[in-house]
Order: sequence, then structure tokens, then C-alpha cells
Amino acid sequence: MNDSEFILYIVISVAIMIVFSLGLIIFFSTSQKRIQAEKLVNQQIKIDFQKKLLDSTIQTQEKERDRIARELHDDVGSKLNVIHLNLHLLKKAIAKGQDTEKILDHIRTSLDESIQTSRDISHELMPPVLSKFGIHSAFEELENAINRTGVVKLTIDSEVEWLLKDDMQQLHLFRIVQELIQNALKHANAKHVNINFVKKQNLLCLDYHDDGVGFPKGDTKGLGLNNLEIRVQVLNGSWQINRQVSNGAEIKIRIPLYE
Amino acid sequence: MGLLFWHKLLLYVTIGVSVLAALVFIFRTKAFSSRLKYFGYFVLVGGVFELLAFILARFEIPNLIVSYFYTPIEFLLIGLFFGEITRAFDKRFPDFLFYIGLILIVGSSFFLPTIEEYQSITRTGVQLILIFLCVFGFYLFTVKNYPYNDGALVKIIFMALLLKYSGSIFLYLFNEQIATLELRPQRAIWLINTGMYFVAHLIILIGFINTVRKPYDYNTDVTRTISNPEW
Repeated sequence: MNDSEFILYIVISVAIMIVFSLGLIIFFSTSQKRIQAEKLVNQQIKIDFQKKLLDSTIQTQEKERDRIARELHDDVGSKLNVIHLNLHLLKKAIAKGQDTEKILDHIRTSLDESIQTSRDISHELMPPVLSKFGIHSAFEELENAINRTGVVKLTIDSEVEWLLKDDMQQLHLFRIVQELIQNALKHANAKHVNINFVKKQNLLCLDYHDDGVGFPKGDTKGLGLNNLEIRVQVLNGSWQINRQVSNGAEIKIRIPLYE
Repeated sequence: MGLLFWHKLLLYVTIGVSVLAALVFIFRTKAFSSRLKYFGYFVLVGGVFELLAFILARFEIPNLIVSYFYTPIEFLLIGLFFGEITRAFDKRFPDFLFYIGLILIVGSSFFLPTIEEYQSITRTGVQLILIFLCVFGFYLFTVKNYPYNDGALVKIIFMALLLKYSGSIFLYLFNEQIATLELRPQRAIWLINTGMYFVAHLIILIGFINTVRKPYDYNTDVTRTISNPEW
């Protein structure tokens, strides 16, 4: 190799190295920009999702408050008015020396009904059986209560080892099941509802199936399902609606357990 | 105006740029984050060595001896700088590279018969390690979140170092063969090295000036608390 060839090789080698370095710099900076853009999009999706969840939580809360307010006003309130009216009648009857037995019966009935309604409201807010006897008993009670109505045949198989972290987790899971049943009663026109709990490794698997009209096609979700989604999120779980089922609806929920 | 003129001009400008970068660091040290201190020292040492080599050459004293000290100090300071950056990414600095560099630096000094000879292999090896570190640094920036506000300057530094070392690695590798050439082609080839050195130090100087003009509040480390989900 003569000198000029050597110089040429050196210059070419240096040029290749410089081009290679520039190429690396461009490659890394474009990759970084692309990855950051993807991260931003994902973050935006997360933020939107959180917003939606927050919205849905507030809506659910407001709806629940509205329902409680209505029940207190329409049911308990009206019954207390009846009692108030009957007390007036009772006072007059005593003054006139009339028979008070019938009025007292009315008062007692209204009082019993008021007590029952307030108990129902309080039970709906926090079922006492859940805190006293645990989630399995709460499901049994729920199953019996629904089956007593005769509208739908509900089967809850909850014979699993419950390894939930705390009472709040139990309550969330209970509300999820309530929401599923509510959905079946309100929208699905189902005759049979089956809910199975199975423990697979460190996952609690909830499989729901009904024989109703099924979910509408598309990605639409009502307030109830949004509420369900929030609770699944709170439990760090995941859920899936199978919209392809020929008859009825199928939902799978997976929740991590703490051993 | 011949090649010698351009070579000298580029040399003076390069010395000027590296001394200027060192001065920016000296007078505005507080504008730089603690992670950049070792790199600042490297720029400082670089400026001093450039001046020293220039003065020695002016008085016709062989200045090759300067490189004996420059290479290990450069390797040490840039290695420490990379250590700081990899720590910022919560990653471990690849220690084996440090040991390879150390072996190269210490080992080669035993095999050199005279001090006038250039440590070609040491220099090439060290540069190869530093190129690898630059690529590794870029890779970290791509796949992980850098949690501090000085990321732009760090990337500018990586870019400058990568260009500088990759542009001159072949020159150091074939240093002995180049030395056998006539003076004019030799000068022309080393002009490439000076050019790469100039480009790198110009990029560093621009990065330094930008940092000084828009100093960050490094204490708040906003990115570590807001936009870094991994934190």
C-alpha cells in the first residue's frame, strides 16, 4: 500500500466513523422522541380514563344520595307525616273520649314500616352481615333475598378461601356482585344468573353468566358498569365483558389476592 | 495561505474554544448541576493541557509527554461523569470498562521504551471505551426516563464526545503508520483530528453557554416528582 492509498483509507475510515456516529445520534434522538410521544399518549389515555372514573364515581355518589334522599322523603317522611296526623287524631279522640285502638294500630304500623325502611336503607349502605359474618354469608343472604322475589334464579358459588386484604376489599367485591345482579334485573331480563368464584394461584376469579338479552354490541358502558369498573380498578383487578356470547351475558373479573 | 496556515488557525481557534469552555465553567460553576462537576473538571483540565501543550510547542519543547498525563486524567474524569449519569438512571456503571481502561493505561506505560513515543494502543483503547459509554448513555436516554433537568446538556456532551472520539480513533490506531508519512500529508491527516476536537469543544461550549443563560433550579427536580411515573 502506498502513502496516498493509506491516506485515502484513513480518510474514508474517519468519514465512516463520523457518519456512523451521526447516524447513531439521529437514531437515538428520533427513537427517544418517538418513545416519549408514545408515553405522552399513554399518559393522556390514563388521565382521560381517571377523569372518566372520577366522573362516574361522582355521578354514582350523587345518584345514591338522590335515591336515599327520595326514600327518606317519600317513604320515611310520608310515614312520619301519617304518624303525626294520627297523633292529632289520637289527641282529639282522647279529648272526645272515643275509641283510640284503631288509630294506635295505624301509628304502630306506620312506625314499624318506618323502622323497616330506615333499616333497609342502612343495610343497603353497609350490609351488617358483611361486617359481622364475612363475605360468604353476605353472598348467601343476597342470594336468598333475590331468590325470594322469584324474578330471577340466582346462584352464587362462593365456597372459596377468601384472602382479601381488608373489609373495604370485601365491600367492593360485594358491591361488584350487587352491581352485576342489578344489571341483570334492570336491563338483561335474565331468568337465571350464575356467579362463580374460583381461586387460581394468587387470583380470585369471578365468572358471571346470565341468560338475558346480553350486552349491546360496541364499547358502550352505562353508569352501573362504570361503577363496577371503578371498583375492579380499586381492587387492582381486571375485567372483561364477552359480547360475543350467543345468549346472555358473560363477564370475567380477576382480582389479585394477598396471601 | 497553505495547509500550515489553516492548521495553525484551526489549532488556535480550538485552543480558544476549549479555554473559553473552561472559563465558562470556572466563572459559572453554580449554574451546573452536581452531576456535571466531573465533566466540568475535564473541560478545565482539557483547557489547561491545551494551553500547556501550546506553550511547550512554542518554546520548541517536546509536548508529547502531556498526553501521558492527559489520557488517564481524561479517562478518569469522563468515567466519573458517566458514573454520575448512570447513577441518575438508577443503573450500575459498567465497572469492567474502568478496569480495562486502567489495565490499558498502566500496562502500556511498562511497554513503551521511551517517553517520546505515543501511547497509541492506550489512547485507542480508552477512546473505544469512551465511545461505548457514549452509546450506552444515549441508549439509557432512549429507554429510561432521565429524572433531572440537565438532560439536554448531558445529551449535548454525549454527542460531542461521540463525534470527537469516533472521528479520531482511527488516527490514533494508525498513529505509527501516519508518523512515517511526509510532513504535509501527516499535517493534513492530523488536521482532521483538530477539526473533530474543535467541533466537539464548540458543541460543549454552546451547551455550556445555553446552560449558563438559562440556569435550571436543580434543587426542585420537577421531572422527578411530576412527569416520571417510575419514580
